[in-house]
Amino acid sequence: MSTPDAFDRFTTRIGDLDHPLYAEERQRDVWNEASAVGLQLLLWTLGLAAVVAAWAGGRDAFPYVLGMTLPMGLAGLVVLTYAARHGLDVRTAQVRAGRGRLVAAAVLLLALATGMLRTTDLGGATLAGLVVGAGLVLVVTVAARWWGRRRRPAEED
Amino acid sequence: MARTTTTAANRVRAARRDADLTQQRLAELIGVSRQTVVAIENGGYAPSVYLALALGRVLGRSVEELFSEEDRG
Repeated sequence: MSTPDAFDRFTTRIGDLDHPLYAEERQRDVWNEASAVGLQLLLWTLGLAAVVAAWAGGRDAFPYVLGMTLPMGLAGLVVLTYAARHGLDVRTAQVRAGRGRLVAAAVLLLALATGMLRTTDLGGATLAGLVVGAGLVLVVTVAARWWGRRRRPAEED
Repeated sequence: MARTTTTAANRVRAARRDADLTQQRLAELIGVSRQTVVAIENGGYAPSVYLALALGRVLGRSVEELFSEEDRG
């Protein structure tokens, strides 16, 4: 086994992964499932709260919206990074989120974005920049997925 | 979620009783909590191959005698 690096030490500390609870397989399974439920509940609740804050509070609520969405993004990034480093390919059909869940997340993101943009005094140039930026992100994401699929090594016998 | 049917559960329970072991004692011998033994016997948990091997060793049965593919829920 390779030497733990900073990310391994960080996740072990944050997740309390050295706790004796994880030494017993059923306890570990049950706790992992319970933690997954808790994480999903927290993410969706925070997302909904951020949407409500953006629409109800307007510009004044932006710091709170950021305070809710940044930890969501960080948590998601850590989850994906941890999974990838332990050999779990989230691009595979068995792991990928269900269509309903993806649609719900897209709706939430759209509601959040429109809620934040609604009360800002953006000029035409800024809005155009936003649209171009979003389009670029989309193009880069699609290109990265295509490139990653091409580079994926052939399955061994 | 990993689940077994009562078929496997009954075989584990029967083997434990044949070995004259309590759930607590069996749990100590295979290094798990008593609740895990209860869960296996009730069909609520399918053990890993390592735990299944330990169960077989302690109960004097092969893994195939305790579990079978048909038990998969």
